[in-house]
Amino acid sequence: MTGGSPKLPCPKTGPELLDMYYLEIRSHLLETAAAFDRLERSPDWERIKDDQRLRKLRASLEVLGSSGTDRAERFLKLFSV
Amino acid sequence: MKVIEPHIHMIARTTHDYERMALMHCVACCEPAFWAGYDRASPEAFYDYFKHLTEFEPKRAAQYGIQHYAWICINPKEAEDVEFSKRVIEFIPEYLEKPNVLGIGEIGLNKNTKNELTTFELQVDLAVTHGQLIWIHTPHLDDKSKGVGLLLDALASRGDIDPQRVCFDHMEEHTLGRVLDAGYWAAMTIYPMTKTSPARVIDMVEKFGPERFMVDASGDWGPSDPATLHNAIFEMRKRGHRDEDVEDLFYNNPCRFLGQCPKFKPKPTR
Repeated sequence: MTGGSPKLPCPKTGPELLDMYYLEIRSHLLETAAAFDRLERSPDWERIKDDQRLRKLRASLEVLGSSGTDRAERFLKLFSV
Repeated sequence: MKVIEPHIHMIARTTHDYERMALMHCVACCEPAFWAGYDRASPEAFYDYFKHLTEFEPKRAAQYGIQHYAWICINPKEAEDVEFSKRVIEFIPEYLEKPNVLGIGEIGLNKNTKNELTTFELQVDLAVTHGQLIWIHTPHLDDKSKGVGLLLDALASRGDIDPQRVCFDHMEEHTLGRVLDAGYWAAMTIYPMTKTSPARVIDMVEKFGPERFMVDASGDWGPSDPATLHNAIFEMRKRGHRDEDVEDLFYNNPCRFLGQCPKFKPKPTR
């Protein structure tokens, strides 16, 4: 059931959805960018730069940058054991 | 529109939250038995906890016109000690007779261990023997996907479980399809940071449809808020969904699942 048409399609059009969520998405991505900056500014950045959790976070950026309608599912699978 | 909160730990909430829920048209809430934030020192501590869920909370809720229902079990986070769990399970049948108890829950897995699975299966036995509904807790974060697979396999291997009488809670994008495809009910929990947001919940309702789907806030002593259920209602309305679809998700569906227990009084509007 991961692909295919939505069972209960959202009544809003694409442009309407973009208007609704643009600033929210921008805000979330900006917060992520700032958080990465914060970590890299830490005085002992070298100690964490190869941390497994950071590697997963970086890998998740590739998921975000890809196309499809299952990014959230692929994101969660990336973080699953 | 009336609303039902299918999963909330009111023992951890103030009376002010009952008032807020009433003001948001919540007419019934369900409280599964769970961890207290610390491991209980004795089985008798569970006896007292179950008494609280079946005596004190219904009275507190009733002051605000809210029907309070409960699920009884030893929770997955304290299920590692199987012998201890058996001593709790011994007196659970007494509580299944209480007028506000809907079934066995929230049972499931925490760290996906063999002992947790043993305690889960013992409590599924109890549910089957006593004809009870089952409410399932699925593990958090990285452990969720594997845990859902283990629980689905455990139930499928028995052959005596009607999936329509079982709800898997705390579903996310990577587990929801498997549970719905297997015929079970599914619930998504709005819980900041570790579970889902109102927008993601409505995304999944759009993707999978509202059938056999519930939403809960699962409020407890962690960062959570009963009002997030209503944020999801607003999110669904904001996207232009029909009132009857909103009502189905937040009122009728809980009535349909929970109403399989004759003690649950609210009825679907259609």
